[in-house]
Amino acid sequence: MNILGISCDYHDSAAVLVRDGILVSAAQEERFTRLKNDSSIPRHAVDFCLSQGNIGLKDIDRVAFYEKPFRKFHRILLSSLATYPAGLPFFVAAMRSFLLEKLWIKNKIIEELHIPEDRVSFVPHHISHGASTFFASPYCDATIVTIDGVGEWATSTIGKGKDNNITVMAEQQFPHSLGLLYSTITAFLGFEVNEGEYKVMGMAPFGKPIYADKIWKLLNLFPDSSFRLNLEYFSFQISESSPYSSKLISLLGKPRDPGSHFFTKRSGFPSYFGKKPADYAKRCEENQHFADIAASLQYVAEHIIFSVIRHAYTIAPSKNLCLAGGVFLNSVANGKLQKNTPFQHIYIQPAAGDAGGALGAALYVNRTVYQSKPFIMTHAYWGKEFSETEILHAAKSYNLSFRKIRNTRKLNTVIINAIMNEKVVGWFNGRSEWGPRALGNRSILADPRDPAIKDIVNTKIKFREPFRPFAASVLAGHEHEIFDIPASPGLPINFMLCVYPVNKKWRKKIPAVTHVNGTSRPQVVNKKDNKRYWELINDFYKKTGVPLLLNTSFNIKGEPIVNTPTDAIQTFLTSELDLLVMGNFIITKQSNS
Amino acid sequence: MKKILVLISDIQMTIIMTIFYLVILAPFSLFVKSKIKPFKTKKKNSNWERIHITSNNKDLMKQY
Repeated sequence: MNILGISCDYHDSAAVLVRDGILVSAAQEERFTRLKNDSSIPRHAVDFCLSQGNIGLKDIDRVAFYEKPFRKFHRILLSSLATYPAGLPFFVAAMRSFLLEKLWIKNKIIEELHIPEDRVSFVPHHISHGASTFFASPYCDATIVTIDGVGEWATSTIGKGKDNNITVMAEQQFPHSLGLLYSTITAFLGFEVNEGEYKVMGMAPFGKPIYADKIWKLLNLFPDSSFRLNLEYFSFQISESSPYSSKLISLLGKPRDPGSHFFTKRSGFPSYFGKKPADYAKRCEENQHFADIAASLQYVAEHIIFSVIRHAYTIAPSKNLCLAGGVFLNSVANGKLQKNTPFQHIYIQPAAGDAGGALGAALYVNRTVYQSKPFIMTHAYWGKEFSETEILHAAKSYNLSFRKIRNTRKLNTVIINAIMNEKVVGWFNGRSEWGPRALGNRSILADPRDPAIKDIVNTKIKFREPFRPFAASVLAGHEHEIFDIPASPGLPINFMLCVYPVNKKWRKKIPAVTHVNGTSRPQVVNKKDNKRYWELINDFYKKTGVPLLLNTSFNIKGEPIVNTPTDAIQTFLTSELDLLVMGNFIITKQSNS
Repeated sequence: MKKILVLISDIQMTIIMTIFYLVILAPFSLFVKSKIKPFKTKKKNSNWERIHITSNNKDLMKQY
C-alpha cells in the first residue's frame, strides 16, 4: 500500500511516501528548486519519493493532501465579510489567488499525478499536524497539541491519540492565533513572516522582557489558557501587505527597518557589516529596544504555550505529549516544556511546521483507513542520497581538485586537523535531512572551542545576523554532562528542537556554541542513527576531550540547505568554506589542472 | 470555470472583485458579523470551541 502525502500552496511544500505504514522518503520542494520556502506543487519532491520507493505514479494507491482547500476558502470568505468594508484589500488578493489557483488543487493533483478522483483524500490541516507527530511517535497513547498560524479555521487544537485513532476535542479559531501574533511581531521587528520567527527567538536573549505588559495588551487571556487577540492592533485579517495596525505602532513605537543591520552593545558590530556607523551608540540603543520587544514576545508566547499544554493535560490526560505546528519549532520554549508542564515524555517530529503536514496526511490515511502497523521516526534522514559516481561526476565537472580517502579514520584525521586549525568544513554525507535543521548530513562544521569561529563562519560563509547562535552536535551519552537537560528529554533532542542551558563549567570551553544567555541548541548524535557523523565527532572527542562539534546548516543566507553534490560545490565555491567533504572525497578549491 | 477565470486580466479581476465585495456582499456582512463566532466581540470565559472529530468519521477525508 503506497500513500503519497503532499503539502503545498501556502509555504514549505513537501512530499512523502509511506509504504505499508512505514516512511520511505520525505523531502521539501525547496531543496530541489532552490527557492526558499517554495510553495508550488512539489513535483520534484514527488519524483524523488517515487524513485526512492522504486515505484511509478501508477503504483500510488492514494494521495493524501494536508488540508481542505474549500474549508480554507470558506474561512477567507467569511472573515472578509466579518471585517467589511476594511477587508476589501485582503478579499481581492485572496480571491485572485484562490479562484485562479488554490481552489483547483484537486484538479491539479489529478492531472499531474494521473490518479482517479476517488483516490485523493483531504485531511484537515490540524489533524495532519497531529498525525505527523502522534503517528511518528513511540507512543500508543498521548495528548496531542497543535499550534500554528492558521489552517482552515483552527489555529490551535487539543486532542488525544490512542492506537490508530486521533480525536480532536477542542480548538481555537482564526483570527485568534498565537502563530499569527508571533508572526506579526516578527514583521514589526523587520523580518520576513514565516521565515524570520527563529531570528526573533535568537534576538530575544539580547533583551529583557520589559515590554511584556504591552504584549499582553494585544490579547485577552482566559483562565483556561484560551485567548482572543485584540484585533485593533492587527491587520493580517484585512490586509496582505502588513500584519500590524497603526495602533500597534502607537503601542510599541516605530517598527524596525528591514534593511537595517541589527546589533547591540552586547552583540558587537561584526566586520562583515562594513564600516561602523558614526551614530553607533544611538543605533545600539534603538536596537536594544527591538531586542527587548523580542524578549517580551518570547516571554508571553512561552507563558501561553505552557498554559495551553497544562490545560490539555486536564482535558486529555496522558503521561505522553505529542506536539506539532510551526510554533513548536520554537526551540527555546520546547526546551522548557518538561519543567513547566506535567508531561513525562514529549515528542516533536523534525518537520513540525507545514511541510510536516504531508507526512501527517499520509500517516493518517495509513493508520485510520488501512490500519497499518506503527512507525516511529527516530531520525531525520529521509531525503536524497548520492552515489560516489554522482559525487565524482560533479567534482570533475567543476574541474576541482579532489582525493578519495577510503579509510574513514584517516579521512576523519584530515577533517579534524583542519577544524582544529580554524578551518570551516562543508560536510555532505548520506541522505538529506527532513525538516529545517541540518543534522549532520548537510552541515557546515567548525571547532566549538574557538571563540573567534562564530565571526569566521559568519564572515566567510553565512553572512547572517551576529545575534544568531550556532548549534552543537554532541555524542549521545555526553549531553547531561554538558547541558542542563531533563533526565529523559526524548527524541526532540535528536532533532535539534530544544534549547537548554550549558552547564557553567562548559560555557568557557565551548564559546562558539554558547549563546549570550548561556544556552545552546544541542543535537544528540547516536551511533545507530548516523554512524559516519558519530565517528567524526568521536574522533574529535578523542583528540580534544570535547565530545561535540559546531553544526550549522550547509547553505548561505537566503538559500535552502544544499541537496545535491552540485549544490554543495556551488555553495563551496561562492563562499569561503575551506574544505568540502562529500562521502569519502575531500575537495579543495585548487583547480585540477 | 477556471478556464474562464484565467482569461480575465488582473485589473479586470480586481475591479470585479471590488464591486462584488462592496456592493453584492454588503448585505451579507452584517449577518456574518453577528454569526461568525471568532469575530463576535461578546466577552466570554473561554475561546476554546468544544468539538469532537474522530478518526471513525470516514467522510472526514472526502470533504474538500
